[in-house]
Amino acid sequence: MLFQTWDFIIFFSVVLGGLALLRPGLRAWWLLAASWFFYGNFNPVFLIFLIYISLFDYCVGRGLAKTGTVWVRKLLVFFSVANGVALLGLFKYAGFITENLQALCNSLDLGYRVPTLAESAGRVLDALNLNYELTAAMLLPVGLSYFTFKSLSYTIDVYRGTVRCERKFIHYACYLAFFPTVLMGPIDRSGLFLRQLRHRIAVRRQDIADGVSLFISGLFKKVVLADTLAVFVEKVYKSDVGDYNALTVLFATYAFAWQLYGDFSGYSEMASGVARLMGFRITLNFNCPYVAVNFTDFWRRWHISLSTWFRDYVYIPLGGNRVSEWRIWLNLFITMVVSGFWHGEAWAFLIWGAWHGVCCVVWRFFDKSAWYLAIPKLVRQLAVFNLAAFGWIFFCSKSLDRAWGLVKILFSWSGEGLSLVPWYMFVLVAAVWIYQLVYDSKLRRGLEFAPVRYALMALVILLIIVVPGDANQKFLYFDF
Amino acid sequence: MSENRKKYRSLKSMPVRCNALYLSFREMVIVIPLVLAAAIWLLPYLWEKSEKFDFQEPDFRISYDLRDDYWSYRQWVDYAAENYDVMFVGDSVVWGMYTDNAHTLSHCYNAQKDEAAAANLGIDGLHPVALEGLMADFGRGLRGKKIYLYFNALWMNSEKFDLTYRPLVDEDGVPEKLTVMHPRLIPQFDRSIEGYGDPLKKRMAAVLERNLPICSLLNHLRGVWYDNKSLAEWMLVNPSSDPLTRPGFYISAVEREHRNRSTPWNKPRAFEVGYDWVPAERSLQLKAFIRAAKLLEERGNEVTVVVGAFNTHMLDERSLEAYGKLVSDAEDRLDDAGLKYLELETLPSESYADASHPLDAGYENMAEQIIQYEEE
Repeated sequence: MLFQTWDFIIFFSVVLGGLALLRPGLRAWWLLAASWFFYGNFNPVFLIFLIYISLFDYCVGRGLAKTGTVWVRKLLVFFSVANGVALLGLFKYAGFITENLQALCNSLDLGYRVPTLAESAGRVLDALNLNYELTAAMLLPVGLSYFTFKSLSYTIDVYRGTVRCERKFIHYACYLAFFPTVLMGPIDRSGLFLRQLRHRIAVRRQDIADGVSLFISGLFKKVVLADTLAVFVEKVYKSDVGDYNALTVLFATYAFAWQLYGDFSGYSEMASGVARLMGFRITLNFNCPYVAVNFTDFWRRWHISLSTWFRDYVYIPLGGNRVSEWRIWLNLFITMVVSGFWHGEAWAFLIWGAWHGVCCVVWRFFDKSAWYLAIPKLVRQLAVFNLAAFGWIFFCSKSLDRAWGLVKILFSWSGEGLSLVPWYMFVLVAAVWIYQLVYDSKLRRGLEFAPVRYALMALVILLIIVVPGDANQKFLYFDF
Repeated sequence: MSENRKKYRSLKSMPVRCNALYLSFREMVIVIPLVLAAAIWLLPYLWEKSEKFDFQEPDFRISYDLRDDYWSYRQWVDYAAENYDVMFVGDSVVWGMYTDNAHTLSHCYNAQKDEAAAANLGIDGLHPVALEGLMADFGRGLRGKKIYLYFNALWMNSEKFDLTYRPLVDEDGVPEKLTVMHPRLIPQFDRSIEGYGDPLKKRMAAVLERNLPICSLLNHLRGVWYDNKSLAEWMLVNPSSDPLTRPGFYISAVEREHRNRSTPWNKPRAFEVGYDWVPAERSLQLKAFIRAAKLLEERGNEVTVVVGAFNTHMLDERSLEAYGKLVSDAEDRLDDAGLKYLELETLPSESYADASHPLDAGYENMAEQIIQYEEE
């Protein structure tokens, strides 16, 4: 049930109706029921994981609140982290681990076949005489990475004493399962959400206006920007390497950069809009990342809730900025590699993370150099965009061989192969980019001028009506 | 209440957006309805005023390729309502599946009357359930006209055609999907058509197309100018073309293909078929047909149902008997509904191309029978 579908509109209308009609004390129950229904709609079996992690970390939180003994508290938070990491490891990374173990066994000529998770689970079911056929897709609950991270942030924050332990299970379960964010984030912190839930759920006029505006803006990014570019990207990136020439691959790479932005940022804005229509504020997840002037800035603007999660729970515990310069580089690099691995269980994602790690380190030098800061801002922005786009080649290819093939074509500047540059798509991208550059500059006030806002809103609504095709593109970050 | 105020104060500083695409509540209630109204009604209205079709072509019938472009059909209905007194409405028999523009039923009628009185409003594949939808939403221009509404019993020759078929369910519980012609015209949420399995997205798109002019216009533009593709898909096929210069205001909608078929159904040899006719009392198609006829009557039209000259020569004995009962029962229901009808006599065997479509000579014969009925 994606936001831009009729199923969701029907579902959301019922949820809103319920929230409006029920007395305040029942609204959290209603929200939880709706969220579990929404999540279970993808596969009811997945609900088991969501409920399990909700119960587990709720109990850990309660335990942390009740005990002052240091070692018990440490043990409890260790259980919570181990449980979250084990869930992710088992369901998200099992394929990657078995694949690489198998490769290792093969290279050592051990003649051992490493069973996949589906096969192992199948054997367990057979032993229990349960006739149930499992596939790999059934063993990766959607949104697992998101709600696991949310839950971990809660227990760690309770352990640190930065947030209050939640007394009501309903509230905690609602925080994890909150349907606008359960599938693809933002990875909201418990403090922000639970604080709002503890108060009476109320919707003000401005919430409605902001919710509708955010939803329209997100819908535009998804159905006009991302889905339009997706047609081009899929054609080039799903063809055989070498089918298209270097110029086409370059444009497809740029197109993917904007498709991914439109897709994920669009989802986040729609989620924010939906939440706002129910009276909840959630974290801003994207803030014009392609106008960033360095890579630290890029990560302050791209998937903000994830990058702040890694900052607070990986980078700072590693020492953050309070250590020697070379340790800062190492910390940055490790954080980015872990972030890459969070995105997917393939070497290409690790390379992508490492690429960003290297860029972050290099930009630490650059930002301290007078010559670099003398370069016009626009040139620095373009440089960051191009290097980020280069990283997306690994992200989009999902396999190292394929990514390497595309990189070779790109740098050979080969004219061989088909040329395909649907220029109108790039007019669209240029318009969005220029808008963001202006918004990020001193000229922002011009864009906030009421008639300009009305005209843009009209144009955006018109494009949402006119442009979309029949293709019902799912969201890219769904897979993570 | 004070707690709520505190909550809002503390959340107020939290950034929620990354652009200036926002409206206040007051702005929203004015701007969004205005924009939607302009997009949904004004834009199609202006487009309609600017677009020109070749409806004045002699013996015009809407081209086969535009058979599911209901925007164009509506324009043709409106033009025909202004310029003709008699309308032939129906499926491919009226449209003229195996004949050219100059031998259709409407042409033969005009030729025998020696005046351009009748227009051909037929569309291929227009079964009665779709006909009802077409007339309800795209045939509103038909008012105060003489209408010959063609009833083709072929649509009741099996449960599948009649849409009363109960689909089989496979091992995984997925029901068999029935092929429905003109799916956008049938009732989208009518549970009686069990085999109609289009997803909610397509059903809602059909509902919107029938109710919002902009959706109908967009389908029309895609069909006529963008090879039925979305803008993105079309741009991929035509990477160097400018999609904005593509749509024009002149549409050639007339059928240009010569479909004349000289071989009758019984050449080189005749054969017999057996149909499992759906009884009149159970038929969805018959009920929809009567509702469509009543709708046209309610709009001030003089409706005469032309009960088709079905090719009974090819029916086996059992089917022929059942067909006779079906027609008789259908006529009883037309009587009960207060509808006038004319039962055409079966044409000579060599005047048929197949079970229901006449050849050129067949159309001459049918037109003669209709004119004779008028004179009586």
